[in-house]
Amino acid sequence: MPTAQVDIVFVIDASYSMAPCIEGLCKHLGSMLAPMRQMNVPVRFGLVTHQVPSGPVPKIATLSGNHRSIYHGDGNGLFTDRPATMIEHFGRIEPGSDERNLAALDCALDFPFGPIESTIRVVAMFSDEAIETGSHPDSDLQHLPELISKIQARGVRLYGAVPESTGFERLAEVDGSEFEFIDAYSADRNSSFDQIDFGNLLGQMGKSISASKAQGSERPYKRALFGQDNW
Amino acid sequence: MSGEWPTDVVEALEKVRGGAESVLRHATEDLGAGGHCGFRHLSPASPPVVIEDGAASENCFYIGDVHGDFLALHTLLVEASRSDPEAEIVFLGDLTDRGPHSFECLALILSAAKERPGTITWIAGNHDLGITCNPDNGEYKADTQPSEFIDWLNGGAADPAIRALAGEFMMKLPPLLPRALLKADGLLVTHGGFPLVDLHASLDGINALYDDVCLTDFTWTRLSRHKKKLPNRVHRGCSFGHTDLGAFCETVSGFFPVRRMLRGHDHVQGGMAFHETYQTHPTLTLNGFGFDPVNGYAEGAAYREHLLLGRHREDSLPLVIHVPSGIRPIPSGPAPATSRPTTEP
Repeated sequence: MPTAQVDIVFVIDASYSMAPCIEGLCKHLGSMLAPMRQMNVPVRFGLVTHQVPSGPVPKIATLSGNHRSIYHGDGNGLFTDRPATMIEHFGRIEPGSDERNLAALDCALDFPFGPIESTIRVVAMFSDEAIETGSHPDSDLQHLPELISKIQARGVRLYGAVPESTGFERLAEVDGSEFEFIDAYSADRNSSFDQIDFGNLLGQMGKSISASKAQGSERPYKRALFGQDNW
Repeated sequence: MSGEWPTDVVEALEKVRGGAESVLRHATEDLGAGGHCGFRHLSPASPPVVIEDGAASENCFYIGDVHGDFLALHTLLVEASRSDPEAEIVFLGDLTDRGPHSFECLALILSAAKERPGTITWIAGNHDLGITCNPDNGEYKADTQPSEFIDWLNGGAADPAIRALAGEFMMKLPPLLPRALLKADGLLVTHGGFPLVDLHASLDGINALYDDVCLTDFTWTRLSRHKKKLPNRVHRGCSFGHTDLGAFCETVSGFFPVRRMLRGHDHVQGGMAFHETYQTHPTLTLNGFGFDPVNGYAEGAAYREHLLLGRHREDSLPLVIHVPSGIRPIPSGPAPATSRPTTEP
C-alpha cells in the first residue's frame, strides 16, 4: 500500500539550555517538510515537551494539554496538520529545569499514529543531555530494552539530535533510527545547539523520512511503560 | 528529466523496441529449455551465492540500480564494452520501476546478454523479485513499491501479448539470479547487504547462506552510518552498521572471505557513497540511474551530467568512472521539438 501520510512527533527537552534548539526548529521546520511536500504526502505533527521542575514526575506537555491527553482523552488534538501551529507551539515552550528523555519518548510512542500499513511513523528527539546524566537515569535506563521493543513493535522510525552516550547509542541501534550526535551540555558552553546548522539537519531528516516506507504490521506492545498514565 | 537525449541513445531505444518481442521470445524459450539467456552465474547450475576463484580481471565493470533508466543502462553498457567487447559486466540489480523505460531496459539487458554470452552477471534486486500473477484475472502484483513496471504489465500501451510475455519472463528469471557474488579478492558484490546478526549463529558453512532468510538479507538490507543495528524482522529492509558487517565477515571467514563490499539498493546523492565509518571493511554504494535519488524520475527534472560505472580494482573497492550522460540542455525560448520519446510503448 502506498504511503498515505507521515506522522512526526517531536520530543523536545525543554530545559533551559535548549533555547537555541527550539529557535532552530521554529526557523527551519520548512526544511524538514520540503522533501515530503515534493512527494505530496500529507504530514501531521505531534509534540511532547518535557522538563522536571521537582521530584520524579516530569512536566510533559502536548499540543492538547499535559501527558494525560495521551492516555485519558480521545486523541483529538494530539496532532496538527498545520506547520504554523507547530511553530507557534515551539515558540510557546517555556524552558525549565532538567529533563526525562525516555519517559517523554514513551509518551510519544503511545500517540495515536495513523494505520501502520500506510503511515510513516516518526519520532524526532532533541536533547542536549545524555540519558545517563539526566534526571533519574538508573530507573529510566531499566526501561530501555522495553522501549526498544516498543519502537520496533510500533514501526516507529526514530530520529534525533542528541548527545553521544551509551543510552542514545542503543536507541540508534533500533532499525530505522538515525541520530545526529552532538556535544553534550556543559556549564562552560551556552548550548550544544549553538553551532548546529538546523536547516541542514532538518533537511536531511526530511529527505530520509521521505525516502522511507510504511511498514506492514504492528506487534502487541505495552502502553505507559513508566506508569505515566497514572501521573 | 530536462534536456535532449543523444541521438545514438534515441536510435538505440527505437532499435530495442523494434526487437523487444523477438528478444523476449528467444529468452523465454531458452529459459524454458534450461538455458541461461546468456547470463553468467544463473541458477540452478550456479548456487544463489557465488564464490569466484581465480584473479578477477580489471576488465570487470559494475552497474548499480538502473530503475527503468534506459539512457543510463545503454550509456554504461556501451562504456563498459568500449575497450573490450568481452569485458565482464556485473549489474547490481533493480532493473525496473521508478524510471519510464522498464520494459526497454529489460529488452536491452537481454539483448546484451545474448550478444555477449557469459559475460553479464545480473544480481537480483528487490524490485526484480516478487512479481506474481493472479491466475483468475491475469493481474500482476509486486511486493515492492513503487512498481511502475507492474502498472505497465497490467495496462501499458504495448500489445497485451508482449506485456504477458514480459510478465511471465519476469516471474521466471529473477528467482534464478544470484543474490551475492564474492570475487576472488574478497569483494562482496550484492544488491543490499548480508545476513544480519541474528542469523550469524547459524552460519556454519556456505550452504547456510542459501537459506531463504539469508538470501532475503543479501537483497533487502540497508546500510546505516551507525555502528550497529538491531534486526527487526517485521519488514525485510532492516539496516546494518559497520560492526555488523565486521561480525558477518568474521563469522563466515572460513568459507566466505569477505574483505570489502559493493552494493546498490540505497539511493544516494551523487549516485555513489564511500561510507566513512566502514573502515575495516570498506563499502561502496553505487547507483546506475541518473535521475534525482529522492524525488525520482520526473519530466523536466534535473538529470546527472555524469553516470557512474564501477571498474574492478584488485584488493580495493572498484574505481568509479564518471561517464558523460550526453544530455543536451534544452535551449530556453519557445518549446523545442524533442526527439526524446515521452510515452510508454
